Amino acid sequence: MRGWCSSLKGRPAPATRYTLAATPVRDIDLAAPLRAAADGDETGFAVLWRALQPAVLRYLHAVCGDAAEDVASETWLQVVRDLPRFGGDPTAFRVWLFRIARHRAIDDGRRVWRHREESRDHVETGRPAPDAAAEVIEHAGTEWALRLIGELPPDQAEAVLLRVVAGLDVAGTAEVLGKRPGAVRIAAMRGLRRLAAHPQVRSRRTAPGPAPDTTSDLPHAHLEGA
Amino acid sequence: MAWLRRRKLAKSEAHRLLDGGSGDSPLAGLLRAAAGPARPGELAGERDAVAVFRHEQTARQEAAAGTGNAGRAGAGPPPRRRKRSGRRVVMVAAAITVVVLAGTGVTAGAGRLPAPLQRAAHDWIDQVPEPAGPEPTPERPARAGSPTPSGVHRPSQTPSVAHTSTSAADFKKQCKEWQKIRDDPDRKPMDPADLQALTAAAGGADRIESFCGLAPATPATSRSAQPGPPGQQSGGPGNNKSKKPNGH
Repeated sequence: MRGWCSSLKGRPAPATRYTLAATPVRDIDLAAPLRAAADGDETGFAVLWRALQPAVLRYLHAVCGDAAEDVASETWLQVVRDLPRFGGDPTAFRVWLFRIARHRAIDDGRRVWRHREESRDHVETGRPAPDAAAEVIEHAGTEWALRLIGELPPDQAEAVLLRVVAGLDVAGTAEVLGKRPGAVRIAAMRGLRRLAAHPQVRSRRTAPGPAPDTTSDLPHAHLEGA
Repeated sequence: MAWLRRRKLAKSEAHRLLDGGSGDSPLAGLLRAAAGPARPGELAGERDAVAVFRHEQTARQEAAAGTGNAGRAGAGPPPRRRKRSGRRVVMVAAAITVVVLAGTGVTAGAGRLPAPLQRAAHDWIDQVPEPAGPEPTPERPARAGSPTPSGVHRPSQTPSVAHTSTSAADFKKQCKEWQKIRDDPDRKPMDPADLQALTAAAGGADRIESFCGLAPATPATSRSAQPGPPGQQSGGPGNNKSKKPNGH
C-alpha cells in the first residue's frame, strides 16, 4: 500500500510543484477504477492507464530503450485482453502490469540496455509559457533522474525503477524480476549507493524540491536547450 | 569506524527512501524526480489505448451475444485459442505415435508382424526375430555384403522348399533335436517333416550344422560357420539362415 505517492504527500515543500501535473495515484485510489475496468468500463480503464503508463514507459525505457512505447502498447493490449480474468487488488495489478511489460520486452528480444550519453525523450518543452516554466524544470529533473538511473547496471536500474518509479514493494519487485527479495534489496541498495555517489548528484548539495531550484543548477543543460 | 557508521547510515537511509520515505538529500530529490508526474509525451497514447479497450469490449460483447463476430473483432483471443488447440493436436498425435510405436515394438518382439515389416524390424533391431515364411528369399540379396562374396553357393541353393510355417523358435527346437540325434545315433530319428524343413532352411543337409550354429564338423562348412558363431543362441538360426541360403 505504500506507493510512490504516499511519501510525496507527506512532504510539504514539493507539494506546489506536484500540483502542476497529474498527481500519481495511490493504490487505494485505483481500486474502484480497476474494478470498473475489469467490468468493461472505459473510464475506469482510462484512469488506470493514466496512472500507470508513465511508470511503465519509464521502466521500459531503461529496459528496451526506443522500443519502450511499442512494448508499452503491447503490454496494455495484453492487459486489456486478460483484465476480465484478473481478480487481484491494485497492488497485485501493478505487479501484474510490470510483469507483463518485462516479459514483453524480453520476449520480443528488445531488452537492450542503453547507456547512452544522449538524453532519453527530449522534453517537449517548445517555448515554455511563463506559468509552465516550473513544470518544464520539473520534467527536466525527471529526465535527468531517469537518465542517471538508466546508467546503473541493469539489475540495479530495474530494482530501483520498480521500487521507486513503479511503486512496487520488495515482494512485488521480486515477483516481477523473478528474483528473491533479498537479491532485490541488495540490487536496489547498491543502485542507490551508486546514485548517491554520482558526481552530478553529489554536486547538487541539497535539493529542497523534487526538481532543482534553478535551471542553471541542473547538470543537464543539454536537456534544457531542447 | 567512522566509515562503517557512515555506511550503515547510508544503508538505512537507502531503505527508507526505497520504501517511500521523504528527505531533502540530493538522492531523495533524484528519486522524487524519477517518480515525478507524467510528462506530456507519456500520456500521448491515451486515446489509442482507450480505443483498444473499447474495441476489445465490443468484441467480447459480440462474442458473448453469439453473433459470431468474435473472430473478426478480437485479434487476440482467437489466435490464442487456435494456438492452444494446435498444441493439443500435437500432443494427441505424439501420444498416438508413441502407442503405435510401442505396439509395433511388442508385436515385432513377438514375431507377429507382417513379414515385410517383421523383416524391417529385424534389420533394425537384432533382438527382433526374423519373419518366418517364404518371403526371406527375395529379401536376402538386399541384405548386405556377405552373401555377395559367397555367391558361389547361389546357383545350387534354391530354397524353394516350403518351410512356410516354421518360425525361428521352431528352427531352434529342430536344431536342438538334430544335434541330439547327431550326437546320439541311438536316438529316435527326427520327424521327417521337421528334418525336411530344417534341411530346406539350411540349404542342404550338409549345412544344417552351420545353420544351427553348431560346432563345425567339416571344413566345407567352416566358411559359412563364421558368421553364425554358436554364441548367438536365440538369433543364431535366423542370422545364419540369412547368410547361408542365398535366394538368387
